[in-house]
Amino acid sequence: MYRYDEFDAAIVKDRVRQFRGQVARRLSGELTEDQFKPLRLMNGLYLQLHAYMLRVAVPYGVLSSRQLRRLAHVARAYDKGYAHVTTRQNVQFNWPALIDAPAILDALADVEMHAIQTSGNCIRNVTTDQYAGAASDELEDPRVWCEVIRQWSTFHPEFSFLPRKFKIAVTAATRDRAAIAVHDIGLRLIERDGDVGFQVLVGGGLGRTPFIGLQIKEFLPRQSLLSYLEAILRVYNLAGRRDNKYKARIKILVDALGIDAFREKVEAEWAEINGDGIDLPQAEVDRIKAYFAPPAFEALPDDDAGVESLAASDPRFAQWLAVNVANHKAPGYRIVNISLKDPDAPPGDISADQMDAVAKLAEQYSFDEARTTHEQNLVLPHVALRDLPKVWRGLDAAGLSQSNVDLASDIIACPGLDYCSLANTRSIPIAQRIARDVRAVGDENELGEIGIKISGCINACGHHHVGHIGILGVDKKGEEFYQILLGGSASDDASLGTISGRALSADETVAAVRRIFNRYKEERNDGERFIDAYRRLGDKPFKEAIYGDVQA
Amino acid sequence: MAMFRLDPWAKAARCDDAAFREVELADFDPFAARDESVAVIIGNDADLVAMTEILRARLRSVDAVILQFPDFRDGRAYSQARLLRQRIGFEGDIIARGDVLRDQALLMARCGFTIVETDRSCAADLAESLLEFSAFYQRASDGQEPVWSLRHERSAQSGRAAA
Repeated sequence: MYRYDEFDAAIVKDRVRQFRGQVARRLSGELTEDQFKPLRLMNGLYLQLHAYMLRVAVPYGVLSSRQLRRLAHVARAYDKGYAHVTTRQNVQFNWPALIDAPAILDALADVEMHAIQTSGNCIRNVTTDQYAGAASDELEDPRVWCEVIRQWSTFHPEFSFLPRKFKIAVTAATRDRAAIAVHDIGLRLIERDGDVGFQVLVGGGLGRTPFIGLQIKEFLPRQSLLSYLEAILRVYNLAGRRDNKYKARIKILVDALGIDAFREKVEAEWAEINGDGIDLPQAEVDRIKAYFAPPAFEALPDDDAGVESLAASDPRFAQWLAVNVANHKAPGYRIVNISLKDPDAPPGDISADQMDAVAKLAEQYSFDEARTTHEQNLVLPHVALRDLPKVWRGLDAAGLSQSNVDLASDIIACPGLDYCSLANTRSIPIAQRIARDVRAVGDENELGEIGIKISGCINACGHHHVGHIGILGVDKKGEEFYQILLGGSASDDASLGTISGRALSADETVAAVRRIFNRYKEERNDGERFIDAYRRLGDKPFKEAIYGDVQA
Repeated sequence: MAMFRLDPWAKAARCDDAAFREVELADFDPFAARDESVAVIIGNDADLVAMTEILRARLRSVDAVILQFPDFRDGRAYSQARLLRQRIGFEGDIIARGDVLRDQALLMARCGFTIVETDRSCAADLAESLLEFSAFYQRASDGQEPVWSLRHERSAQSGRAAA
């Protein structure tokens, strides 16, 4: 993984020192809360319902065991003993005191971590495939380009006060695990005539007005990435709407101008920028690339008798192996998904002890590396097949052996009204009730891959638009109601879900989701995923399942 | 309201000599005879890209351009300043006017602003904020070498020393 040199370290230390001064000015009363707000937001410090919330950047989701242990320490020393993995692959602490924020940032800076640009109207943490560098279906390691973008976008003087926040995702795999089509800019590494470059999408996003990103550039040579990003951002910074924050994202500008007119502006700007010394020289790309060289994989056989015999004798291990373990590009290695979706805990929460346990396993069995995922889980990217039983036992002992990755109880949910000052409704209890229902009925394996995503308000932090089943909380005269959306996807088959009908109470929602499951089981072909069955059948049978014969 | 020159080495000095006759871009006559310094005011919704050629000719004899921040969150003028410096080749002062936070002065300097007009801050505060960062990741309009350039300059030098 990338390691700081003296320049990177100095920039982060400078930022901590600057923020310490800003906090002191706030505490002394020199700054009002109103003046302090934009300053703290640029360092990931939000004022939530009950307390401050600190969002720590995990650049493109990559963590060393040392960093994980430091996060565990912060959770113990400054929070209530746990942390929360976000849909931007970041980590949030929900209970820090303002006065402790600089000390927390110092503790993080020691392990090359920070909270820079985790909020505010700037370029946010760039995200990628959690299987990067390990996936069998990837062209090259996308993290090299994520790090290039991270450096370019950090304290970019021109793009720190954009009309609205700006999110970039990169993938290099055939299967899109980074949801690039629902980002302000989505980048896919592709090969053309022996050259590698980027397919560039722009204007995707969720929120109140969801859009699937459109192609602005079919093939951008790799070496021109930063100048092209600079051109897009400059056009957006100058022309994006600033009169209404709900119409300020780039997707609204792209939609208003049309993709062709927008492209024309960007291409003209890009042509002019050419030669401004924005793009990196090959030597710098190579320097960054060297940090992402594959670890020293052993030459191992791609089968293991110990794993097979344990799978034959222990159905829990067999289930975990079938559901949470994915293929690796190196023979004899596997990718291990760690689910943070225990039906009895908020989705994405992890305790300090669990972080320490994962750190130890990463150190011993995964070349010292762990990942966060935008689905709010963790990954050990490089585990030898023969070590899977030991890793599983270690996870099981830490309460982290939930075998439900990509299944119905692997639900993305925003913090909702339990924590968030914007939310209309709670999200977490709905997620937990659906998960418990699936466990009680015992048909999770039978249901197979189903992505359920829940947002507690129209800001869509729970990505409900791209859930195979999406749930949106709405307030009706002070009561919590939920709309069910069907048919969304954030992967390479990206699509937006459509609202099925009138909103339902919490009880009705949980019951309706069960009826959707049952209808799917009746209607599906052999091996057909829920989303594929929905696309084949249309919404009629599922609307019937939700509302019965009564008109929705 | 006072004008502060964004020069970290001069400690962001208050510049009392910066007295300009202000004129809106639309009213500005580049051929009119004059005996005083002129600052042209450009609105932050002005499309400088579309006016590049006109501005190259018109701003040649101008001493300063005033760009506006109606709200500190409105960052259009950062891009306008960069266009003035890099596209239009304007070499006079660029003045930041409006809702300016001390914590934004460094960003402004990097985008090509040379003067900040403010009553919120004193020169010492501005100087402090200009010196808060010792290195920069990207090339902008202030002539600072980005770290990616410094990294390889350094290794080229050490390579030469080794040879």
